[in-house]
Amino acid sequence: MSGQEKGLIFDIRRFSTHDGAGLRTTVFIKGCALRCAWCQNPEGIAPNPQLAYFAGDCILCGLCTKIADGATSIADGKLSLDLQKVRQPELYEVTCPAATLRMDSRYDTAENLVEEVLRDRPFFRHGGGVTLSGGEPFFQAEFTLALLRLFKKAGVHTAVESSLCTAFEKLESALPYIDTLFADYKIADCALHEKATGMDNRQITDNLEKVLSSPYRDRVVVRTPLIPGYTATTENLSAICRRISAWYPKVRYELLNYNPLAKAKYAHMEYAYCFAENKPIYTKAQMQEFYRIARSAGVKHLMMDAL
Amino acid sequence: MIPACEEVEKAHIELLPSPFLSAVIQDCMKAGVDVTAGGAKYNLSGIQMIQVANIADSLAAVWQLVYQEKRITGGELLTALCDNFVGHEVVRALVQHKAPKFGNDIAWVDALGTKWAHYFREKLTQYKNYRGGPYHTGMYTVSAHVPMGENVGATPDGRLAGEPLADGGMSPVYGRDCKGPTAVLQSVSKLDNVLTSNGGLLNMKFLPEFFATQSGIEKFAMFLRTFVDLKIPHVQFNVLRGEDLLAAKKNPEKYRGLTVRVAGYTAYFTELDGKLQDEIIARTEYGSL
Repeated sequence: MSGQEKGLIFDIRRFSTHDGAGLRTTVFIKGCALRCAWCQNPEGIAPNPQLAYFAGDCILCGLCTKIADGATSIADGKLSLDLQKVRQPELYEVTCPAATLRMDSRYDTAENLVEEVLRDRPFFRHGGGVTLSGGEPFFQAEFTLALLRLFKKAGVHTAVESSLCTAFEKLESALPYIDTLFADYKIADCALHEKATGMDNRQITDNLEKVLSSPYRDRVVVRTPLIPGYTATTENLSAICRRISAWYPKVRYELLNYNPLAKAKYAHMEYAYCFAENKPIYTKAQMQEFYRIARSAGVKHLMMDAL
Repeated sequence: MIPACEEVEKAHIELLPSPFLSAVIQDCMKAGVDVTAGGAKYNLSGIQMIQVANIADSLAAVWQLVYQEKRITGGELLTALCDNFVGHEVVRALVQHKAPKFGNDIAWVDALGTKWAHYFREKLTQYKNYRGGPYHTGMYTVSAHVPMGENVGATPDGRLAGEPLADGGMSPVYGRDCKGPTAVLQSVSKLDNVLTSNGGLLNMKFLPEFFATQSGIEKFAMFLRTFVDLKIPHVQFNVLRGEDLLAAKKNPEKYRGLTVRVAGYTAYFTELDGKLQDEIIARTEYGSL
């Protein structure tokens, strides 16, 4: 391990307040094997850098339409981008003066990223640290492991947000370097899981059981994102909670409220969002009801701060 | 500027003597001389620096786009400024979006602000005020960045002629601090405190939702503790939602009680000048990220 391992990241967000204890910096690692219909970070799914169009600041100068690829055109006061035609994505980024066409991610070394994250070290001192998110951090498992080792070497608190959709050996080698593992467990039923995420949940279920039986189980927080009709059903939440509390009665569990804002990200995405007509976030009373279901299914340690 | 300051001080002696203030300032009573007339032991005069963030952003744009990348020439930029960027939209987009900005914890950009603030402070050491004391500097604008902006032409950071300058004095230009509040504090902490011996001012705006949970409040406390660790002389917060301010501007009768921090004082939002209202609405909002 040299710190020279390169990885593809699509964002570094400082002052992250929803990804673990204290004030954190979250590194978003690109690529994910799942295709969850509600994905909040669809820009993190593809494993390669892509050209993205952020319409807001476009001044319709037309400079990009002169690029030989011919992937952009202006009609009716609007710019349209045909990703299929893009051959030289970086050229669009360089050409666009308003930074509305730009690469959605960048390659960097573990060492550089650690240095960048450590800029907020004065804030971490009061309780905080780094969170690796995605995408799926274990989609680039070697890189994630390299980052975690460097962060622990620097004495920084580490959290990882993962779907556990990875080979267990990769997870196992990283566990000693993770202070908090936020493990998503979305749908208990194997067939329904496959329908909603593109993959069945055998590997995920298997990994979660192993992690919750390992010496690191007190560092784990199991999370279910509440997606209307998909995950937020009595049946599903009960099944998840029965299962995880049987594996480890002291398991920590958190429900993440539905986030309607994610839909807006799909305007320029090749994926479709799960709801054509968006749903509202759950009220406090509804959230309390979901937590009641979790408790009656055997989970004692509920993380309810967001309520 | 110095002769103008002297005229103001002369006028203070004549028109605004402050006997009560003089009674509590060292040596005025002993000398029997009013503080405005130089009776105090320390006869400082403070001059405020406004638009330090605009200077850093402007010079960063010139450095990056004219000298480093050579995407535009100095002549092109000058013409664009003289024309207030009209017909030079590409140049404006470049300086706005393709050059780094103060307030994002980028060392070389922040250093530009510090460097020229020090330059100004150095220049002032050559002068004495009318009472024989030294000039020192502060970095706060109260609300002066709005009227002063009206007298400043287009700037190489993409700001149009007449638009407000950076608010606060130490604050980044609103909307340009894209790395969040921790990066703002880091950038502002790079400004040497000797530059703000006459006071400094940093404005930040948070959304009320941030304080809705116990953990949000605890995280804000951590943020404040780090602010202290970073030895920044001042910060003040508005905890407001942009939409509420827009609604208050439209229907002031419904929002008479809405107060905002302006600069060292709290004001009723509906009583502020429309331009200052717009300026407060435009300040970057930090929510739960």
